[in-house]
Amino acid sequence: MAGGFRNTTFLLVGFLLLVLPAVGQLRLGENLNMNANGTLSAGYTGDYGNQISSDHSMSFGGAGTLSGFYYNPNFLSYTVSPYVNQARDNSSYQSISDASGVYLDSSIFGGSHFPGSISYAKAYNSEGNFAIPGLANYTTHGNSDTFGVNWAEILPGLPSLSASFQTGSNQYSIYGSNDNGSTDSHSFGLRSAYVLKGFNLAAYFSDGSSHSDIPQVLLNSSQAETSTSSNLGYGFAVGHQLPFRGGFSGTFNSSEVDSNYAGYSYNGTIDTYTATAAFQPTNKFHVSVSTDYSNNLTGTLYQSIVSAGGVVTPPDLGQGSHSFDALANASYSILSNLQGLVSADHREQYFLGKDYGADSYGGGITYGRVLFGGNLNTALSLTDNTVSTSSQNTLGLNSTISYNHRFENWAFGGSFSYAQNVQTLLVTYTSSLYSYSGNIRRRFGKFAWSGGAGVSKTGLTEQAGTTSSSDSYDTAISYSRWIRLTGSYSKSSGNGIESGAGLITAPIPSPILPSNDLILYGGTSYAFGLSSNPKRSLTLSASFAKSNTNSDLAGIASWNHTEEINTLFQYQFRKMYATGGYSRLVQGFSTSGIAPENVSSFYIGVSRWFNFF
Amino acid sequence: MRGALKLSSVIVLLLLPILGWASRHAPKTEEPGPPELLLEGGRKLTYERSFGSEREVKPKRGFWNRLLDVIAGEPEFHNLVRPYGIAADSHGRIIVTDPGAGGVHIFDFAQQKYKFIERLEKGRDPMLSPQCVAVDAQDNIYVTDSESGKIFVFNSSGKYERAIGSLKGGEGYFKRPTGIAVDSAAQRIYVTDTLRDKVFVMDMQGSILQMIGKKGVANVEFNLPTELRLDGPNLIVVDAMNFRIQVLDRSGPFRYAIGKIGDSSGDIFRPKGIGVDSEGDLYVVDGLWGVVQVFNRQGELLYYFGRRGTHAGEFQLPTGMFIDHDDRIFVVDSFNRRIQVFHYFGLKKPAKEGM
Repeated sequence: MAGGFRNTTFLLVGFLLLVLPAVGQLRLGENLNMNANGTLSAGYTGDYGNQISSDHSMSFGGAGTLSGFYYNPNFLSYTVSPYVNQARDNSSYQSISDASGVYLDSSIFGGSHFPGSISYAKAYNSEGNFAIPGLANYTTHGNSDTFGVNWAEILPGLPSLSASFQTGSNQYSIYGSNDNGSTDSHSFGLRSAYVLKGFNLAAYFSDGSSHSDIPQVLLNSSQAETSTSSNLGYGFAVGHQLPFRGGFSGTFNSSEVDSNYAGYSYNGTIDTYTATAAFQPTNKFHVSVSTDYSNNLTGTLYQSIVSAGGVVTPPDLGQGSHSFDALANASYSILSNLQGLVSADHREQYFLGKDYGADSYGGGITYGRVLFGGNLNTALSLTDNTVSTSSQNTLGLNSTISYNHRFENWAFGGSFSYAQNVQTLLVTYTSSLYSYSGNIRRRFGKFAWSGGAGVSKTGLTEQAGTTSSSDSYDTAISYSRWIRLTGSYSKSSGNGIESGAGLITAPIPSPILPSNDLILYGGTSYAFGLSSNPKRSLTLSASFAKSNTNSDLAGIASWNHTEEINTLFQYQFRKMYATGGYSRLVQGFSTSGIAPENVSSFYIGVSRWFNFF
Repeated sequence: MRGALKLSSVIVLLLLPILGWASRHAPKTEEPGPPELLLEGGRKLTYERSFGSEREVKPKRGFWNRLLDVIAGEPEFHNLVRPYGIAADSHGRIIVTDPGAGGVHIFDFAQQKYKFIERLEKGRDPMLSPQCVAVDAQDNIYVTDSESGKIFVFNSSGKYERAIGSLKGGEGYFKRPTGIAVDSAAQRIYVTDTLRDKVFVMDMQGSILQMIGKKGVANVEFNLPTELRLDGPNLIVVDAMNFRIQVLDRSGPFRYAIGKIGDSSGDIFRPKGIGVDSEGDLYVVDGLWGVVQVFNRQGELLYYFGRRGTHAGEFQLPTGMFIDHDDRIFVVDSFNRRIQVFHYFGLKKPAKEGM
């Protein structure tokens, strides 16, 4: 009842927002340019399920866009897009929730010395995803809002300055569980650049913080785990041109990280220094040398996880970990389609109370040519890796080959990659991988068929339990615009870590990451779709997707599944649309302790598009 | 309370369409055209009108249509997007090729009818980029497709008849066919293949009978020829990158040429469409300067009209041209997405005031 009241109020306020500026246009005369268009809809909608009360009623909704500028598009331009009570997630009908919200974007003084912009978005009851890598996502619903301001000063002959502030929050529930999640983040940044006597100078300052309640939907707990982190950073960069079409650059970055997760905290400062010089004395020859140093290897690894959105207890590499890397590369174009390259790399790292050193020397070629009317591209490189402190010697190999060809009504392509003993962030670990993929398309008059497949597998060399793999296959067949059938199948497994948006692939494997943070996941997904446009004004579609996954964290296993059906018809007559649809979601998690939730919703109604002014 | 809000919602829903409809149907004043161009000997050239949309074919809509417009909105009228070539048939229907829209517009102002021909999504012989157009004595429509390398033939009602130059495997014979003219009496089709620097002469079945010209700067040699027109015994060819108009005998021999490169009046810089009025004067559209220059048969510039701009009588990147039997001059004002109509009142025909 309260939701209906709120939505109806939204309807009125949203569209009055669209109408009121028409009066403003009259008041402000020629200087105000605005366009407004939108869709108003009326229909009958209902939803029911095993964990919600059945509800059905008349529904009024709409979506509109008011855009324009004042005086000149560069002086002030704006876009306001409210949407109310849409039986869809903004513009996509494939949704089970009635979403409402608004999006606002405005820029001022564009193209001048002081450009700025403001953006704001708020969404109620919109659908979201809880991700499992390589598989169909689980469905969430909730509210979110974001706000951002950017401003810059760009005066000729003076240092430029840009400032930005972003804030956002998101609260969501996962269908089929009692779990809720939320994220709340703020960031502020300053950046400046200046050219002084040929030196390119730059500096930045950033301050950010975030707070997340991570749902423990894959664990036997409905209590969200809280993660907080803050990051204060600043840095400088300098660059200058050098002879032989060369240049050099040097940077210094410093970050202060303070985070808490699952009762563990991390507090540290990470200082990194880099220097690079590159030359291209001839069009065919290119050489570069670079070096970098980090005084906190633990922090560097931890930052790579946090920047990917992951939450883990901080890795422990002992006190005083640091790293140093010196790299030299040279390449020479032997022919227009044949290039040779050599590299030398020296790395020193200190962690877990030990010094490690590694030297790598490598060489390779890249080659491409037209073969049988198609394009062939290959690359091969070999690297000799020696870890000096342990006399560990490996031969690294990296190779790729791809071929694409079109022949009459056929088009096909394929690629294969294989890598062995590739250096990772830590010198004591190397990784190996292989992947191959292919796709094919064929036209038979009005018939068209396509198919594709991709397989990849990666893991640490000689390190059990670190393998991740994914397989995917898809096909589609269509006859003119009358009918289109699609199908897909995917299979995935590996190590993941939690994030505010589900699982993400672990950027750093165990044992560097604590094993009680690594979630083993696996599963399969498949989907089918059927759509038809027998007339341009008529659209019919239906889709079915199902995913079964399992996960294991420190012996706590969970079997999960999600299944979604969507159907839609839409008929357009002039600017009116008759729309009907049915959606059904079944989703459950064995660790949640409750029965899988099923939610169904239907909608039938008409809508009319208006170009108000 | 909730009932009142719902009632308000319904009122807003009803008022908004009316507001929108009313705002889009405010009376529009026709932009005044340029003043009449008074010429020597009492001749004159007047601006008549412009059009660019299906909506203008039947501007007055009946009560039921207007009611339906309020309820369901106006239909999706076809508009000119990037018009290029133009011709008129024996019934006065205006046929405009539009590569931007991927089709051909047929405006029938007399019958208040409109038709849009397209074959973009056809599996066999799709029409990709319609360029120039001509009609024969039976009002069949011939359209060159510069991208697929074919000529498409439609009957007078717009129904697809056949494709000329369609090779086995779907490719087109021509490299870039552009200008086209049809001689129904002699049963001949003339087509310029711009990239081959030739004019092909074919019978009505598409069999090649003769090829005129080769790449060069001499007489009966071309550098990227484009538009064609038949005028009595003459075959008029726009020799675009030689910056001239060559007038040949229909069988090929050279008669005379008009124009030279330059940026002064009487020079030709980017020749596009051409036409011939009832007095035999030659009209040449210059795409870059946005003017139409009128030459006599001696190649002397008589006068010009138009300039670059967006107002009535001005052009932006004009392309094709057609002059009908009443000396109405149709100029494709491509970038302004419209056709502008002028009327020449010469000495051979008394001026019909008020037209």
